Amino acid sequence: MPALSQLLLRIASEFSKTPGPRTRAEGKHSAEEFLDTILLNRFDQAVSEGQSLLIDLDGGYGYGTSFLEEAFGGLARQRGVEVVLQHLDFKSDEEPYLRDDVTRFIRQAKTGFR
Amino acid sequence: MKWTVWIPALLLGLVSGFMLGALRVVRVKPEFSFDGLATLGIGLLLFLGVQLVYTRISDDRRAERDLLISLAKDVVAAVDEVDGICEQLNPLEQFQDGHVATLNSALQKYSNSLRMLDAAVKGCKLEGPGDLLARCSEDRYRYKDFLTDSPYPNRFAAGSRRQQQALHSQLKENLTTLIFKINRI
Repeated sequence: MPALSQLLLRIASEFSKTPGPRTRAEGKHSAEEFLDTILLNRFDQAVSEGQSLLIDLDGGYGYGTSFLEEAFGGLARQRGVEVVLQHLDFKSDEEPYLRDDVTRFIRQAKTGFR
Repeated sequence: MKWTVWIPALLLGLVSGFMLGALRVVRVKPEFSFDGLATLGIGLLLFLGVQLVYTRISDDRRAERDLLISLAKDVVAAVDEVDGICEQLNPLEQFQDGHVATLNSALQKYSNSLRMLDAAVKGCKLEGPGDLLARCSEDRYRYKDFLTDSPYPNRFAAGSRRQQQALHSQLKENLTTLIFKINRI
């Protein structure tokens, strides 16, 4: 299958350099807020245009497991694991393992985290 | 200087040759033979060539092993740094942004040091440490998962310090086993 053209989403500049907790109730810059206000819309746009969404994870202060799982695992729970894996890609020059971690959260989304 | 290792080898060869010639079962003709000299010369050259290649390979392997052990020790140091920060943060009821940045930075350093080790093991094409390295990678994931899941980044879960320490010990145990494995290659 030929590679899809890409939309870019930079979390640090478009959402926050200090991603927060899992849910809105726990504090600011939550994964729930990110998913609802930015990620879902941008992902749906990419899918409707036949593109993939490239998430740039660099430039911030780092990500907690709770944020990544709620955001990207949450996306997979809402849109489907296979669709997300097909239309989502990640870039992290600062911490290369992040890419593998997030992919794992997506794959585990339906079976439940942990 | 490397050439100095050849001197004792040459002396050992000469002494061994004389001792061999002194044996009763060995008859040494008191003649000068160009054929014999040529054979000796060729044998010597072959021996030197094989010795050179072996020394080169063995030096390269030793250098690679030393590098891998150094990188593995970097991972251990990075893990200890994370645990030190956790020790300081555990009593706090609310983290500040600086606390979160510090812990994230230490976790990133740990991740990147493990990645470097992984790349180096693959670069050396060593098969022995593969399973242990995979276990260390799983440890990293489990450790980071435990530390940075809710209620992080607000605080650590109450009473989680003992489990943090248990995970930290497990990490170090597997890393130490990996270092031993690399050292025996």
